[in-house]
Amino acid sequence: MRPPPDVAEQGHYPVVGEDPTLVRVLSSALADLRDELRALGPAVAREVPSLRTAWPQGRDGDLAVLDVIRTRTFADAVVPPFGVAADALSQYADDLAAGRRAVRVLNGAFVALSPVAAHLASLAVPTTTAQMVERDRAETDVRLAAAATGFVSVGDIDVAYEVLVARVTIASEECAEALRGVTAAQSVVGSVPGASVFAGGLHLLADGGLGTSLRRAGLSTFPDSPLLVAAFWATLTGVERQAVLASDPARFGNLDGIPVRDRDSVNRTRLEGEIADGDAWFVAHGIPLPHGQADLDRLTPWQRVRLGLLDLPTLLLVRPVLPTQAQAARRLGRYREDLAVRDTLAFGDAHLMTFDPGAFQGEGRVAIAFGDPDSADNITLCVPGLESRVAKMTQVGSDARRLYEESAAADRAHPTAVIAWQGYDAPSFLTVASSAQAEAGAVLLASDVRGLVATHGNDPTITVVGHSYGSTVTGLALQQHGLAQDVDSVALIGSCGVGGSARTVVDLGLRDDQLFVGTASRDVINATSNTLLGKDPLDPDFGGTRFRTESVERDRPGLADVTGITDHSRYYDQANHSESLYSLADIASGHGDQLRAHDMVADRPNRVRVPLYDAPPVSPPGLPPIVLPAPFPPPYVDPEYARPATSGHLHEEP
Amino acid sequence: MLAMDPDRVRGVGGRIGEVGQLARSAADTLSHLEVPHARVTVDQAAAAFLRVWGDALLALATELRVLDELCSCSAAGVVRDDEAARFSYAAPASARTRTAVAG
Repeated sequence: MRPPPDVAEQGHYPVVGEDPTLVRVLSSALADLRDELRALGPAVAREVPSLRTAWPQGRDGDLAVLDVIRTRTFADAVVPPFGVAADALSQYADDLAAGRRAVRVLNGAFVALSPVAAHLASLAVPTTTAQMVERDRAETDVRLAAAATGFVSVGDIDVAYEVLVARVTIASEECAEALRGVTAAQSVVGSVPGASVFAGGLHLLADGGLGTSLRRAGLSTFPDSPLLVAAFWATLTGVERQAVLASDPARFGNLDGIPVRDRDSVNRTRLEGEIADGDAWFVAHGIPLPHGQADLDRLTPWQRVRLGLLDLPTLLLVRPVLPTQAQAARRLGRYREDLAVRDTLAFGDAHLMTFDPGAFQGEGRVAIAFGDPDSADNITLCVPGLESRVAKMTQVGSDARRLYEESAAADRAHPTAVIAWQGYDAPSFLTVASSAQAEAGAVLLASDVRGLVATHGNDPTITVVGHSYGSTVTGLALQQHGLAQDVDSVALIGSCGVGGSARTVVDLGLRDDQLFVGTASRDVINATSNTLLGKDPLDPDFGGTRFRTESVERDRPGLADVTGITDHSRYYDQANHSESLYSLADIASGHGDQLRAHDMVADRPNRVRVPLYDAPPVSPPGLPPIVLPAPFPPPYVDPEYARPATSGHLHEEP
Repeated sequence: MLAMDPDRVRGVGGRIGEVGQLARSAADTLSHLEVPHARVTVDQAAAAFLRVWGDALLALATELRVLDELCSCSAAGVVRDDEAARFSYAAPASARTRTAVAG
C-alpha cells in the first residue's frame, strides 16, 4: 500500500505523490497560457469584418473569410481545455499539499507514541512494587502520548496513513482523468484549421476525388434520394465527408440524407459568413454592431440614413423609395434573418440542420433542431403557420424549445429532439386562403422527414405537429406525399383544415390512434371551420383524438383575447404549465395513449352549426342589438367552451 | 482583376499574423513545460496533454501565418484572386509557404 517516497523523507511514513510545488508550477503555467489564449479568438474575430470589407467579392474572398471564421472557432476551442487542465492540476496540488501536512502530523504522532508504546510492550508482567510503578508510568506515558496525538495506538496511525494514501491516489486518478478528458477533446473539437473543410474540399475537387468516392460506392452521379445519400455518406471517410461539404456548402448543408451534425457544422460556418457580411456593412458605416436581432429595431433615423435605407425626401414622403434604398432594405432584412437564426441557436443544444437564406424570394428556409435528431429516440417537427418566416425564427424556435423541454421531461429514458421547421414559404394574411403554398410546403416536409429517417438508422418515434396553416401543409404531405409512412403520430393544432379531399383520418393514411387534434374553444380559427382549406379535423366524424388545449388566460380582457386571436397562438404556452403543452409533450414523446389517463382528452364540438344570428345579441342601452361575430360563442356547441381551463400541468416537478 | 483592396487586405493579414505569433509562442511555452515527475498516472496524462495541445497550437499558428501570407501575397498581386484559394489550401502548410515565396 505504501508507495516509495518521491523525495527524501525524514519520518517513519513516506510522503505520497508528487511535489505539490512542482504540480502548482505546471498548473499556473497552464492558467497563464489559458489567459493568453483567450485573446486569440477575439483577435481573429475582429478581423473578419475587415477582411470582408477589404475583399468583398469573389469565391476566393469568401473562402478566405470562411477559413478565418473556422480558425476563430478553433482558437476559441483551445481555451477551455487549458482551463480544465489548470484547475485539475491546481486541485491536485492542493490535495498533495494537504497530504504532506497530514504525513508530517502522522510522523509526529509516530515519534511521540511509538517509543512509549514499545517501552510498555517490553515490560514483563509486574511482580514487584517497582515493576508495578514502572508499568504504571509507562501506561501513563502512553495515555499522555495518545491524548497529545489523537491516536490510541501505532496501529491506528498505520490505518490513518493507509487512508491518506488512498485519498491521494483517488485525487491523482481524478486529476489524470480530467487531463485525459481534455486531451481526448482535441479530437472532438476537430482537426486543426490547417485541415479545414475548405482545404479538404478544394484538394478533393482538384484530384477528382468525389468521382472516385462515387465509383467506389457504385454510383455514377451524386444520389438524389435521402436514403441513397445516407448510404453513400456512410462509405466516406471523415476527411472525404468534409471535402464534399466544402465543395458546395449551400447544397450539401441542406441535403436530406446527410447527418444533421455534419450539416450543422457547415451551415453554421455559412451563417457566420453571412453575419460577417452584415457586420462589415455596419462597420463600414460606423454603426455599432448589433448584439442580436432586437438591436436592429433600435436603429436611429440617422443610422438608417447612413445605411442608405432613407434620405430626407423619402422620409418626408415627397419621393418614392429608390432602388438603392430597396436594395439596402433587403440587405437589412437578410441581416435580420441571420441574427434571428443566431439568436435561436443560442437557446442551446441546437443544430442548424437547414440554412437557405435565399429561398422563397429571400424569406428564407431554416430548420433548427433542439437535441440531436440523428440519435434521438423521439423526434418531433413543429410546422408553423400563417405569417411565420425566418425573420421571426425566435418565435418558432421558442415554441419548439418549450416542447423540447417538456417532452424530454415526459420521457427521460429516451433522448428527444424537436425541430423548429421553418422549411416552407408560409403565407401572409393576404394569401392564407390559397393552398398553393401548403402544397409546395408538403413536398418539402415529406422529404425532410424522409431524410431524418434515412440518417437515423434505427426506428425513431416521429411526430409532426402542424399549427394553423402548418396543419394544412401536414395534411397535404400525409395525403399526397407519403408522410404517413414515416411518422408515428400527428398533432394538428388550431387547424384551418387538412387540405385536399380528406374527410376522415383514414384519408390521411393514419390510424385513428395516430391523429391528435387540439383546437381551443375560443381560437379564432373556429370561425373558419370547414370553409377555408378542406375538412376541419376537429369535426366529430373526422376521427383521431381531441386533446385539451384551453388556456387559463383565455378570458383575459383585451381585444386580441376576446376575438380569439391570442388563443390561436397559445398552444405552446409554457406559462401556467398549460394543458396544450403538456398534451403535446405526451404525444411528442410517443405517449399519446396516456392522454386519457392524464385527463387530457376532450370531447368534440357538436358541429350542427348554430346560425350566427342565434348568438345572444349584445344590447347596449338606447342602441339596437348588436350581433357579435363568431366565436361569441362559437357557431356550434363546444363542450370545451364551458369547461374551466386548468393549469399546473408538468411532467416533472420544477 | 482582384476583387479586393490590396492595402486593407494586407493590413488584415498582418494582424492575423500577429495572432499567429501569439499561438506559436504559447505552443513553444507548452513544449518547454515539464511534468513534475514520471511515476504515476497524472504525469503520463499531463505529458499527453502537453504534447497533443502543443501540436494543436503549433498547427493553429501555422494556419494563421499562412492566412497572413495569403492576404499579403494576394494583396501584392503575387497570386491572382482566382488562384489564391488553391494556393492557400491545396497543399500542406510548409509547401504553401514555399509557393508563396517562390510566387
